[in-house]
Amino acid sequence: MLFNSITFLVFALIFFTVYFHLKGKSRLLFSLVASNIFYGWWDYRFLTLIWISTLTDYFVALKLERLSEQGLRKKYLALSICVNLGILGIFKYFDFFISSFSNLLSTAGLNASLPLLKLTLPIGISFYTFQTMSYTIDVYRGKCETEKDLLRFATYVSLFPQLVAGPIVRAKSLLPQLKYDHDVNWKRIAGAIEMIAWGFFLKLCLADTLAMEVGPKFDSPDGYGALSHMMSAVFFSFQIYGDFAGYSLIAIGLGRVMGFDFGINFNRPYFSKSFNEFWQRWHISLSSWLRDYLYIPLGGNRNGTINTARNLVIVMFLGGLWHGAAWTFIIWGMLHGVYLVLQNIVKNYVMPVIARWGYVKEILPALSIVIVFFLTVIAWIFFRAKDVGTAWDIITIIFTGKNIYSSIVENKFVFLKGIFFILITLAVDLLSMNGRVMNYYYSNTYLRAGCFIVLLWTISFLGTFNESIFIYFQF
Amino acid sequence: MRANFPFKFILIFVLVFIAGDRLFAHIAGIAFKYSCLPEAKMYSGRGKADVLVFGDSRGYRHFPVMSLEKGFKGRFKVSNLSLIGASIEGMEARLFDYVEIYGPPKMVIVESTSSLSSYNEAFKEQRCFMLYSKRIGRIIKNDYPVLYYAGKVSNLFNYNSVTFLNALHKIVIPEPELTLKGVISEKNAENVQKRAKSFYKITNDNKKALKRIVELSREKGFELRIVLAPLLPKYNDYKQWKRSLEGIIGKDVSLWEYVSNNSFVREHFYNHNHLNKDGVKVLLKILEQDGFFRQGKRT
Repeated sequence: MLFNSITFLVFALIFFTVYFHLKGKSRLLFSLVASNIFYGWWDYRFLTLIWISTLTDYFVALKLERLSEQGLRKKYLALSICVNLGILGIFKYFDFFISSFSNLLSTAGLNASLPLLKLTLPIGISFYTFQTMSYTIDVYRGKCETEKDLLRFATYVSLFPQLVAGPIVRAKSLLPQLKYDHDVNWKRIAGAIEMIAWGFFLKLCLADTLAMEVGPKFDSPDGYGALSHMMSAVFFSFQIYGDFAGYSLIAIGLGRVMGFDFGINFNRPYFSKSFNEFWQRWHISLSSWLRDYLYIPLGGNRNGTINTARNLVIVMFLGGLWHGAAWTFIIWGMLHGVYLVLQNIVKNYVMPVIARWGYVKEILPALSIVIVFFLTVIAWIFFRAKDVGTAWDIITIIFTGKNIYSSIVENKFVFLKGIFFILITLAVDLLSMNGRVMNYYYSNTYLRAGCFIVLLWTISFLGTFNESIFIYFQF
Repeated sequence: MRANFPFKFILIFVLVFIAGDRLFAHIAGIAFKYSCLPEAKMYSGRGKADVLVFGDSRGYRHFPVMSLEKGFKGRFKVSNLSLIGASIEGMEARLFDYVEIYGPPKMVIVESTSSLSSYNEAFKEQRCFMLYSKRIGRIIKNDYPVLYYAGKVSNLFNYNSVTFLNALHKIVIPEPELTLKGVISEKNAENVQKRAKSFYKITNDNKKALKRIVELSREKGFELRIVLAPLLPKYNDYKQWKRSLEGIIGKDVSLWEYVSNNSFVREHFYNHNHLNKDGVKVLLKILEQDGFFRQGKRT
C-alpha cells in the first residue's frame, strides 16, 4: 500500500478512527493486524519473512536474558544474525553474487552458467531485518531490556508507518513507547499532520516532478548533452531527497499521530559542510545504525589514520550494498567512503595551512557546502544509473562537455516546476535553520495554519499525482 | 476524544481552504480568455472558425492552420482542435461543445487512424475544461472517477495539468508551427516495419462516437471529411480495417486516404506515424491536387 494512494487514505481513516477508541492490548493487537494488512496488501506471502524475523529475535532475546555463559550467548546472537542476514542474503543478494561470480569466471575464460533464484525482492526487507537485528544486539550488549510480550514486540517490528522504508527505529526507543496508551492530543496531531503535508509536498511536488525530467536522461544518456546530464544529476539529487525525506516525514508524522516519536531521519543534508556532517543529516537512522553496529565495533577512529580509513571504506561499502544488490550502489557507497577518507586527510594536513589565509576562512563554509554538494551529486549518478557503464557514460559526457549546448529540457513546464520546487525546498530548509524564525513560526497558530493552507493549494495545483512508488521501497 | 476537538478552528480552516481554492481556480479560468491555445479560445468564446480539424497527434502535426487557410485561399478560417493522444470519443465531446457554443461550422476534418484505437487517457490533461464542458466532465467521471471527484473537492486540482500551463504560456507566446523537424533513421525505419503487425484496432466506444459525429454532420448540415494521413510501415490487414471504417462512416462522408500513398518515402517521416515538415508539405500538395481545398462533396 502506497502512502500516496487512495487505498491508503481509506486505510488511514479507518485505522485512526478505530485506533483511538481502543486501549491497551486491543490497541496493540489492532495495530499489529492493520500493519500486517498494510504490508500484505502488496504481497501477503512475504508476511512470513517478517514473522520469521520477529519470532527469531523475540525468542533469541528471551534466551539471551536467561543465559549467563558468554559462549552460548554469542551462539544465540549469531543465530539471530544468521537468520536475518540469511533472509536478506537469499532474497536480496544471492542472484547478485552468483551472477557476479559467473561474470568473473567468464572473464577468466570459464563459461559457467550458475543457477539463479530469481526471487521477488520483498518490500522493506532491509529495514525490518536491520531493525530486529539491532534489538537482539542491544539485548546482548545489555543496552536494551528484553521484551517479554510477543504482541508488543511484533507490533514494534511491523508498525506500518515505518515498516517498508524506515526510519529504522531502535527497540530501546520505540518499545517503551508501546507500553502506554497515547491519548488524543489535537496539538500533537495538528503538528503531525503539518509534517505529513510537508512530506507529501516533497514527494508529490519535488520528487515526482523531477522524476519526469530525470528518467529519460538516465534511461538513454546518449541522446543528451553535458549540460543536460549535469542538470539531471542535480535534479536527481533533489528527487531522491524529496522522495526519501518525504516518505520519512509521512512515516514519522503518522507515528506522531499515533503518539510515537520515531526521531528524525533527514536534517537539511544539502547544507552539510563536510561528509561527516552529510551522514549525520542524511538517512540518520541508517547512518547511526551503521555507526553503532559496524563502524564502532570495527574500531571506529580509535586505531590510527589507516585503520580509520579502512573502517570508513568498509562501512560505506556495506552501506552501499545495503541499498541494493548492484555494483552501482556499491560504487556509490565506496565513493562516499573515499570522500570521508580524503576529507580526513584534508582536515588534518591541508586545513591548518588554509586556515592561515584570512579571506579563504571567510568563504570556506559556503565553499564547503558547494564542494560537498557537487561530490554528492557525482556519487548520485552511480546510485541512479541502471548499470556502471551507463553511469560512466554520463560522467564522461559531463566532463568532456559533449554536445554541451544541446537541449537540456525534456518538458519546459515540468522543468520550470522542478526548479520552483527545488527553490522552495531550499528556502524552507534554510529558514528552518534559523531558530528565531522557527520560534516565531511555531508560536503563531494563524501563520502555521496559513502556511499549511498554501501548502495544500500548491500540492493540489502543482503536485504530480501518478501514484509512483517511493524509491526506497526497493531497498 | 471529542472534548477538546478544535471544531471552530477546523471549520474556519476548511472554509478558508475552499474559498481560496475556488477563488484561485476562478482566476486560473480567466487565463483562458487571453490564451491563444485553440481549446482555450474555443471554450472562452473566441474560437469561431469555418473549418475545424480534429485528430490525435497525427491531426495535430499534419494539418498546420496557416497552410490550410492558404490552401482554402483565405476563404475559411481554420482551427485545429486536435489533441495529442486523443480518442474519437474525446473529439466528439469537443465537436459537440463547439456546435453548442458557435453553431455548426462549414467543414470538419477528422484524422482518424490511431485515434480510433485510443482510450481517453489524454483527457486527464483536459480536466481544466471540465468547468466549461459537461461532456469532458462526463468522460473524466466515467473513466477517471478519482480525478473527477478530487476536482470537485479542490477546483484548483482541475488546473493541475500541462494543458493549463501551456494555456498560460500561450498568453505570451503564440501557437508555434506544429510540424516536426528531423528524419527517422534507416535503422529505426527498418525496425518499425519489422514490428508492424496488425493495424490499429477500432474500439467500440470510438466506433459509436464516430457514428454520432457522422449523424451530427447530417443533422447540422456541415461537411465531414475523414482523412487518413500517411504511415511509414505497410500493414497487411489495412484494407480490411479500411472496409470497417467505410462501414462506420457510410457512403456520404468523403474519405481522403493516404495511409500507404507511394509519394511518401522515409525522408518524409519524423517517426513511424508522423510526417516531418517536408512530408507535411508533400501531403498538403497532394491534398490540393486531389481537390481537398475545394468545398463540396468529393466526386
